[in-house]
Amino acid sequence: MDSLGNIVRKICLNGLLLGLLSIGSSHAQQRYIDRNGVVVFEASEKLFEPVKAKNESVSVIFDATDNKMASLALMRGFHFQNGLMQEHFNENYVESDLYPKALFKGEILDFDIDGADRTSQPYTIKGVLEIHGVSKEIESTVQIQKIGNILAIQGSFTVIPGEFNIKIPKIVENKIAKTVLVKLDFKLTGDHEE
Amino acid sequence: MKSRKILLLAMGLALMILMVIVYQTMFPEPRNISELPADFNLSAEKLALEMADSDKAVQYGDKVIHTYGKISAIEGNVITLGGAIVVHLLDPLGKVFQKGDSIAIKGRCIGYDDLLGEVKLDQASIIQIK
Repeated sequence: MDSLGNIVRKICLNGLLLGLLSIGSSHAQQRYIDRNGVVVFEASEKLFEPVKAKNESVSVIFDATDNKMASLALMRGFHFQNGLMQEHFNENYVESDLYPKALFKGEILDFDIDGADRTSQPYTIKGVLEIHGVSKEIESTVQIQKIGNILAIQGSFTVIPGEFNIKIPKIVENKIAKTVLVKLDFKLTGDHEE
Repeated sequence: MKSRKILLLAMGLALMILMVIVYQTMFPEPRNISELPADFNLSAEKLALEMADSDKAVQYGDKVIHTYGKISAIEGNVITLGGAIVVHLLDPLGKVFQKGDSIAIKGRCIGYDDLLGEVKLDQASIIQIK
Protein backbone atom coordinates (compact mmCIF):
# COMPACT_ATOMS: atom_id res chain seq x y z
CA MET A 1 0.00 0.00 0.00
CA ASP A 2 2.96 2.21 0.72
CA SER A 3 4.17 1.91 -2.87
CA LEU A 4 0.69 2.74 -4.15
CA GLY A 5 0.82 5.87 -1.99
CA ASN A 6 4.16 6.73 -3.58
CA ILE A 7 2.72 6.33 -7.07
CA VAL A 8 -0.28 8.52 -6.24
CA ARG A 9 2.03 11.16 -4.76
CA LYS A 10 4.23 11.12 -7.90
CA ILE A 11 1.25 11.36 -10.22
CA CYS A 12 0.03 14.35 -8.18
CA LEU A 13 3.49 15.97 -8.34
CA ASN A 14 3.67 15.42 -12.10
CA GLY A 15 0.23 16.91 -12.47
CA LEU A 16 1.35 19.90 -10.38
CA LEU A 17 4.46 20.40 -12.52
CA LEU A 18 2.53 20.21 -15.77
CA GLY A 19 -0.13 22.39 -14.18
CA LEU A 20 2.46 25.02 -13.24
CA LEU A 21 3.82 24.99 -16.75
CA SER A 22 0.38 25.48 -18.19
CA ILE A 23 -0.89 28.14 -15.76
CA GLY A 24 -2.17 31.11 -17.66
CA SER A 25 -2.05 29.27 -20.93
CA SER A 26 -5.51 27.81 -20.78
CA HIS A 27 -6.96 30.60 -22.86
CA ALA A 28 -4.14 30.76 -25.37
CA GLN A 29 -2.81 27.18 -25.38
CA GLN A 30 0.79 28.23 -25.79
CA ARG A 31 2.55 25.04 -24.74
CA TYR A 32 5.23 23.52 -26.94
CA ILE A 33 6.53 19.97 -26.50
CA ASP A 34 9.36 17.89 -27.94
CA ARG A 35 9.56 14.20 -27.02
CA ASN A 36 12.52 13.45 -29.29
CA GLY A 37 14.90 16.27 -28.51
CA VAL A 38 18.57 15.67 -29.32
CA VAL A 39 21.41 16.27 -26.87
CA VAL A 40 24.99 15.41 -27.78
CA PHE A 41 27.91 15.67 -25.42
CA GLU A 42 31.56 15.48 -26.29
CA ALA A 43 34.57 15.22 -24.01
CA SER A 44 37.16 14.05 -26.52
CA GLU A 45 40.87 14.65 -26.20
CA LYS A 46 43.14 14.79 -29.25
CA LEU A 47 44.91 11.52 -30.12
CA PHE A 48 42.53 9.46 -27.98
CA GLU A 49 39.32 7.61 -28.82
CA PRO A 50 36.39 10.06 -29.15
CA VAL A 51 34.31 10.39 -25.98
CA LYS A 52 30.97 11.30 -27.48
CA ALA A 53 27.37 10.31 -26.84
CA LYS A 54 23.98 11.18 -28.29
CA ASN A 55 20.51 11.10 -26.75
CA GLU A 56 17.62 11.37 -29.21
CA SER A 57 14.75 10.99 -26.77
CA VAL A 58 15.07 14.10 -24.62
CA SER A 59 11.80 15.66 -23.39
CA VAL A 60 11.31 19.41 -23.55
CA ILE A 61 8.32 21.51 -22.47
CA PHE A 62 8.12 25.23 -23.12
CA ASP A 63 5.35 27.56 -22.07
CA ALA A 64 5.23 30.64 -24.26
CA THR A 65 3.03 32.58 -21.82
CA ASP A 66 5.79 32.88 -19.19
CA ASN A 67 8.80 31.59 -21.21
CA LYS A 68 9.42 28.83 -18.65
CA MET A 69 11.15 25.75 -19.97
CA ALA A 70 11.88 22.29 -18.60
CA SER A 71 13.91 19.51 -20.16
CA LEU A 72 14.68 15.97 -19.09
CA ALA A 73 17.28 13.57 -20.48
CA LEU A 74 17.44 9.99 -19.26
CA MET A 75 21.10 9.09 -18.72
CA ARG A 76 20.60 5.60 -20.16
CA GLY A 77 19.34 7.24 -23.33
CA PHE A 78 22.88 8.41 -24.19
CA HIS A 79 24.39 6.19 -26.88
CA PHE A 80 28.14 5.78 -27.28
CA GLN A 81 29.85 4.10 -30.20
CA ASN A 82 31.86 2.05 -27.76
CA GLY A 83 29.63 -0.20 -25.65
CA LEU A 84 32.21 -0.45 -22.88
CA MET A 85 32.43 3.33 -22.65
CA GLN A 86 28.64 3.47 -22.33
CA GLU A 87 28.78 0.90 -19.55
CA HIS A 88 31.44 2.87 -17.65
CA PHE A 89 29.49 6.11 -18.16
CA ASN A 90 26.33 4.62 -16.64
CA GLU A 91 27.85 2.51 -13.91
CA ASN A 92 30.92 4.40 -12.74
CA TYR A 93 30.62 8.04 -13.72
CA VAL A 94 27.01 9.24 -13.66
CA GLU A 95 25.65 6.23 -11.68
CA SER A 96 22.46 5.96 -13.73
CA ASP A 97 20.73 3.59 -11.29
CA LEU A 98 21.00 6.21 -8.53
CA TYR A 99 20.62 9.29 -10.72
CA PRO A 100 18.69 8.20 -13.82
CA LYS A 101 18.11 11.66 -15.31
CA ALA A 102 19.51 15.08 -16.08
CA LEU A 103 16.94 17.81 -15.54
CA PHE A 104 16.95 21.45 -16.60
CA LYS A 105 14.41 23.99 -15.41
CA GLY A 106 14.65 27.60 -16.41
CA GLU A 107 13.46 30.27 -18.77
CA ILE A 108 14.27 31.99 -22.02
CA LEU A 109 14.95 35.64 -21.21
CA ASP A 110 13.24 38.45 -23.14
CA PHE A 111 11.57 36.07 -25.55
CA ASP A 112 8.31 36.93 -27.26
CA ILE A 113 6.62 34.12 -29.14
CA ASP A 114 4.74 36.57 -31.35
CA GLY A 115 8.00 38.18 -32.44
CA ALA A 116 9.63 34.85 -33.33
CA ASP A 117 9.73 33.80 -36.98
CA ARG A 118 11.77 31.89 -39.54
CA THR A 119 14.82 34.05 -38.87
CA SER A 120 17.04 32.42 -36.29
CA GLN A 121 17.62 34.81 -33.36
CA PRO A 122 19.91 34.54 -30.35
CA TYR A 123 18.34 34.41 -26.86
CA THR A 124 19.71 33.84 -23.38
CA ILE A 125 18.51 30.79 -21.56
CA LYS A 126 18.98 30.68 -17.80
CA GLY A 127 18.13 28.10 -15.20
CA VAL A 128 19.19 25.22 -13.00
CA LEU A 129 20.72 22.05 -14.38
CA GLU A 130 20.62 18.94 -12.20
CA ILE A 131 22.95 16.08 -13.03
CA HIS A 132 24.15 13.30 -10.74
CA GLY A 133 22.02 14.72 -7.91
CA VAL A 134 23.85 18.07 -8.00
CA SER A 135 22.11 21.30 -9.09
CA LYS A 136 23.97 24.16 -10.70
CA GLU A 137 22.87 27.42 -12.28
CA ILE A 138 23.69 27.71 -15.96
CA GLU A 139 23.29 30.41 -18.55
CA SER A 140 23.79 30.07 -22.27
CA THR A 141 22.91 31.58 -25.62
CA VAL A 142 20.62 29.61 -27.90
CA GLN A 143 19.32 30.21 -31.41
CA ILE A 144 15.55 30.17 -31.75
CA GLN A 145 13.35 30.19 -34.82
CA LYS A 146 9.65 29.57 -35.28
CA ILE A 147 8.34 27.86 -38.36
CA GLY A 148 4.57 27.55 -38.25
CA ASN A 149 3.71 25.50 -35.20
CA ILE A 150 7.31 24.39 -34.62
CA LEU A 151 9.73 26.15 -32.29
CA ALA A 152 13.34 25.18 -33.04
CA ILE A 153 15.93 25.72 -30.31
CA GLN A 154 19.61 25.05 -30.92
CA GLY A 155 22.63 25.81 -28.82
CA SER A 156 25.50 24.56 -26.75
CA PHE A 157 27.09 25.04 -23.35
CA THR A 158 29.91 23.52 -21.36
CA VAL A 159 29.87 21.64 -18.07
CA ILE A 160 32.67 20.50 -15.80
CA PRO A 161 32.12 16.93 -14.51
CA GLY A 162 33.76 17.75 -11.17
CA GLU A 163 31.15 20.41 -10.46
CA PHE A 164 28.48 17.71 -10.56
CA ASN A 165 30.50 15.45 -8.30
CA ILE A 166 31.32 13.13 -11.22
CA LYS A 167 34.71 11.64 -10.54
CA ILE A 168 36.94 10.65 -13.44
CA PRO A 169 39.50 8.00 -12.40
CA LYS A 170 43.18 8.98 -12.71
CA ILE A 171 43.86 6.17 -15.17
CA VAL A 172 41.57 7.68 -17.84
CA GLU A 173 42.01 11.32 -16.80
CA ASN A 174 44.09 12.19 -19.88
CA LYS A 175 41.60 10.61 -22.28
CA ILE A 176 38.61 12.68 -21.15
CA ALA A 177 38.41 16.46 -21.59
CA LYS A 178 38.13 18.58 -18.43
CA THR A 179 35.19 20.49 -19.86
CA VAL A 180 32.34 18.70 -21.60
CA LEU A 181 30.66 20.36 -24.57
CA VAL A 182 26.89 19.81 -24.60
CA LYS A 183 24.97 20.54 -27.81
CA LEU A 184 21.20 20.65 -27.95
CA ASP A 185 18.79 20.52 -30.85
CA PHE A 186 15.09 20.72 -29.96
CA LYS A 187 12.07 20.94 -32.24
CA LEU A 188 9.03 21.68 -30.11
CA THR A 189 5.55 21.36 -31.51
CA GLY A 190 2.77 23.62 -30.26
CA ASP A 191 -0.27 21.82 -28.84
CA HIS A 192 -2.52 24.22 -30.70
CA GLU A 193 -3.40 25.07 -34.29
CA GLU A 194 -1.72 28.07 -35.86
CA MET B 1 64.43 -25.66 -38.58
CA LYS B 2 61.02 -27.06 -39.30
CA SER B 3 59.97 -27.22 -35.64
CA ARG B 4 61.13 -23.61 -35.19
CA LYS B 5 58.95 -22.51 -38.06
CA ILE B 6 55.97 -24.29 -36.54
CA LEU B 7 56.70 -22.67 -33.17
CA LEU B 8 56.88 -19.20 -34.76
CA LEU B 9 53.67 -19.85 -36.65
CA ALA B 10 51.93 -21.01 -33.46
CA MET B 11 53.19 -17.97 -31.57
CA GLY B 12 52.00 -15.66 -34.36
CA LEU B 13 48.60 -17.32 -34.33
CA ALA B 14 48.37 -17.10 -30.53
CA LEU B 15 49.30 -13.41 -30.69
CA MET B 16 46.59 -12.77 -33.28
CA ILE B 17 43.96 -14.55 -31.17
CA LEU B 18 45.08 -12.56 -28.12
CA MET B 19 44.79 -9.31 -30.09
CA VAL B 20 41.27 -10.20 -31.22
CA ILE B 21 40.26 -11.02 -27.62
CA VAL B 22 41.76 -7.76 -26.32
CA TYR B 23 40.06 -5.77 -29.09
CA GLN B 24 36.68 -7.37 -28.45
CA THR B 25 37.03 -6.72 -24.71
CA MET B 26 37.98 -3.09 -25.25
CA PHE B 27 35.52 -2.38 -28.04
CA PRO B 28 32.61 -4.74 -27.54
CA GLU B 29 29.80 -4.86 -30.08
CA PRO B 30 26.67 -3.13 -28.79
CA ARG B 31 24.02 -5.53 -27.52
CA ASN B 32 21.51 -6.62 -30.11
CA ILE B 33 18.31 -6.23 -28.08
CA SER B 34 16.11 -7.95 -30.67
CA GLU B 35 18.13 -11.15 -30.34
CA LEU B 36 18.30 -11.17 -26.55
CA PRO B 37 15.73 -12.94 -24.36
CA ALA B 38 13.44 -10.58 -22.43
CA ASP B 39 14.35 -9.98 -18.77
CA PHE B 40 10.77 -8.91 -18.00
CA ASN B 41 7.43 -9.59 -19.64
CA LEU B 42 4.55 -7.36 -18.56
CA SER B 43 1.68 -5.27 -19.92
CA ALA B 44 2.10 -1.57 -20.79
CA GLU B 45 -0.23 -0.58 -17.91
CA LYS B 46 1.74 -2.64 -15.37
CA LEU B 47 5.07 -1.32 -16.68
CA ALA B 48 3.84 2.29 -16.38
CA LEU B 49 2.80 1.70 -12.74
CA GLU B 50 6.04 -0.05 -11.85
CA MET B 51 8.22 2.64 -13.44
CA ALA B 52 6.39 5.49 -11.68
CA ASP B 53 7.63 4.01 -8.41
CA SER B 54 11.35 4.86 -8.22
CA ASP B 55 12.07 1.96 -5.82
CA LYS B 56 10.68 -0.55 -8.30
CA ALA B 57 11.91 1.28 -11.41
CA VAL B 58 15.59 0.58 -10.62
CA GLN B 59 15.25 -3.12 -11.51
CA TYR B 60 14.14 -2.31 -15.08
CA GLY B 61 17.02 0.08 -15.97
CA ASP B 62 18.87 -1.07 -19.12
CA LYS B 63 16.92 -4.36 -19.10
CA VAL B 64 15.27 -6.03 -22.08
CA ILE B 65 11.50 -5.64 -21.71
CA HIS B 66 8.75 -7.46 -23.56
CA THR B 67 5.59 -5.40 -23.27
CA TYR B 68 2.22 -5.18 -24.97
CA GLY B 69 -0.74 -2.84 -25.22
CA LYS B 70 -2.82 -0.69 -27.52
CA ILE B 71 -1.11 1.91 -29.71
CA SER B 72 -2.19 5.38 -28.55
CA ALA B 73 0.10 7.46 -30.81
CA ILE B 74 2.41 7.03 -33.80
CA GLU B 75 5.07 9.56 -34.74
CA GLY B 76 7.69 8.42 -37.23
CA ASN B 77 9.35 5.38 -35.74
CA VAL B 78 8.20 6.31 -32.23
CA ILE B 79 5.00 4.68 -30.99
CA THR B 80 3.20 5.11 -27.68
CA LEU B 81 1.53 2.18 -25.95
CA GLY B 82 -1.34 2.72 -23.51
CA GLY B 83 -0.63 6.48 -23.39
CA ALA B 84 2.46 6.11 -21.21
CA ILE B 85 5.03 3.80 -22.82
CA VAL B 86 7.04 5.61 -25.50
CA VAL B 87 8.82 3.14 -27.76
CA HIS B 88 11.65 4.10 -30.12
CA LEU B 89 11.71 1.42 -32.78
CA LEU B 90 15.04 0.38 -34.30
CA ASP B 91 13.77 0.22 -37.86
CA PRO B 92 11.42 2.55 -39.68
CA LEU B 93 7.91 1.14 -39.69
CA GLY B 94 7.72 -1.42 -42.43
CA LYS B 95 4.52 -3.01 -41.24
CA VAL B 96 1.16 -1.38 -41.48
CA PHE B 97 -0.59 -0.62 -38.25
CA GLN B 98 -2.60 2.18 -36.78
CA LYS B 99 -3.84 3.73 -33.58
CA GLY B 100 -5.90 1.32 -31.50
CA ASP B 101 -4.08 -1.81 -32.73
CA SER B 102 -2.80 -4.17 -30.07
CA ILE B 103 0.90 -4.75 -30.37
CA ALA B 104 3.74 -6.52 -28.57
CA ILE B 105 7.28 -5.15 -28.64
CA LYS B 106 10.69 -5.90 -27.17
CA GLY B 107 13.09 -3.10 -26.29
CA ARG B 108 15.56 -1.68 -23.80
CA CYS B 109 14.16 0.27 -20.87
CA ILE B 110 15.97 3.60 -20.52
CA GLY B 111 13.87 4.93 -17.66
CA TYR B 112 10.92 6.96 -16.46
CA ASP B 113 10.47 10.51 -17.72
CA ASP B 114 8.65 12.25 -14.87
CA LEU B 115 8.34 15.47 -16.84
CA LEU B 116 5.83 13.90 -19.21
CA GLY B 117 4.92 10.89 -17.05
CA GLU B 118 6.19 8.43 -19.65
CA VAL B 119 8.32 5.31 -19.67
CA LYS B 120 10.90 5.26 -22.46
CA LEU B 121 12.13 2.21 -24.35
CA ASP B 122 14.62 2.26 -27.20
CA GLN B 123 16.21 -0.20 -29.65
CA ALA B 124 12.79 -1.79 -29.86
CA SER B 125 11.45 -4.28 -32.37
CA ILE B 126 7.91 -5.41 -33.06
CA ILE B 127 7.08 -8.90 -31.90
CA GLN B 128 3.42 -9.16 -32.83
CA ILE B 129 0.48 -7.19 -34.17
CA LYS B 130 -3.04 -8.36 -33.41
